[in-house]
Amino acid sequence: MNTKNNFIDNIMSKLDPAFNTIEEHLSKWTHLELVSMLTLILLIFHGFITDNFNYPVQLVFLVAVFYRPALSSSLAWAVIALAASYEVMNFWHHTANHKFLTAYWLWALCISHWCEDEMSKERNLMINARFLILLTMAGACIQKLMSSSYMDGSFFEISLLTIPSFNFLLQLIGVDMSLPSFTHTAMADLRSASTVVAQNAISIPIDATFSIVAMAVTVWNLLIQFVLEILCLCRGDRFQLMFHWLFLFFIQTTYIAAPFVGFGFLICILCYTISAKRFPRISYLYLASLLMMVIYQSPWRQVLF
Amino acid sequence: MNIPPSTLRSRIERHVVLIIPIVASLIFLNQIYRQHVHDLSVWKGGGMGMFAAMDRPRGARFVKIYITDNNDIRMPVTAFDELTYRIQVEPSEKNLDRLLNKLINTQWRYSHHRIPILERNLDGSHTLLDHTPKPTPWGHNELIDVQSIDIEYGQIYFDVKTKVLVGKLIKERHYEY
Repeated sequence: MNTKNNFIDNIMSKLDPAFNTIEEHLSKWTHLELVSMLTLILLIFHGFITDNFNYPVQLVFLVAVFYRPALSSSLAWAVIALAASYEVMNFWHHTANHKFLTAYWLWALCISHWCEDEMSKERNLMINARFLILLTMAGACIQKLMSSSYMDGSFFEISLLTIPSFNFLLQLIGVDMSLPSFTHTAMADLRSASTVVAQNAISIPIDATFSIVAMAVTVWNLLIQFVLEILCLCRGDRFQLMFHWLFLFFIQTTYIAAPFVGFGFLICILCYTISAKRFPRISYLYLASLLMMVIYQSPWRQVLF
Repeated sequence: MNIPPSTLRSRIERHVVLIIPIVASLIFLNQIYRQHVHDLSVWKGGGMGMFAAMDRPRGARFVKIYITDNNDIRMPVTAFDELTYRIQVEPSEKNLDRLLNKLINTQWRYSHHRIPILERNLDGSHTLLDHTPKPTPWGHNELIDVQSIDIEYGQIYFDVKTKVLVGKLIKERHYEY
């Protein structure tokens, strides 16, 4: 344990100059201002796609670039939060879960900016950020535990084959690369009203190694989210530190494999929010994770594999 | 009892923090309820269930619609994408009835396009069995004398033991004119 701590301390001390530079630049912003700006950037990159939402976001962002107090306008955040809520409620059939989370977070920012008392602003921001992380992790664990197709491993056996982002992983474990397209067309044929499939059943030639990998991914995914949930609930500094290191590990290992970065961006902002005051140096790693996610999105898989 | 405005505001500021946790928890519980009662997809509805089940609306759930004309030709229909998608997200009786009513109240016409009817072979290749006319709600072509409408909703499951993908029919609607 001590060796591990020394290793981390060594790395952290080597990063000192970088941390100091970041610290110097970030000191020009208040915590709430910086979190608000990061959220605006999230909305511009990964917000809702309709014009109703984009117009107010772009307007507030451009004004805030030149006039920073605009970031602290509860009215501006209320307009953005209303636009997001309209999108979620009106098009909920199409709305992904992380967009619900985005809408909640926008209201949290609106309320924080509305509060006059500095303590209330901070308290509101921290409580809501922590609650949303807890909700995400608890929701994911509960849904997975209730889902038979998750618990028997079938979800990841099929998802690894049908979600193109996982193709590099398949190549790493030596899966025949005709299998993903075979599975893809099998699913399309079963869905199609104009294709006759004998007994509505198609055999997929999956080998035992692939099934073991899929089951390992299944167990890992559930386990890490469960542990994160427990650690997030614990109050002590040691548990919180463990939570943040594990979360950073979770973010890096998850989004390098599956670059669904809209959700990753938001999670990083929430974790930055709860860590910035208590563990400033760790919070910078969340900011670095935002940059890493942009890199993960680039077509590096196609170049390497 | 009159409360000074500053005290009232500070009281509100103290309790306003509860709004989002309450609303988000209610939406979460509503998702769980609808999942069990109406088979709402885990991927939708604010239940944080992404990557938790195979019931992804467009991936593993299907809605097949057929119209049969007076020559007994059964034609697959691809129309009303939004109503169809809503069934894939939440296959409630209400959503199925809504689509059926829309199909019944539509004047169907033959189009210039024809749909190839294929058979899937064991190796994944396809054999062309036939072509059927493609019904459309648009244009001025000949009206179809519709005899019946069928809607089939189902989901694809994967059996981890036998490694077989199975398309299971879950709900049906049949309407005879």
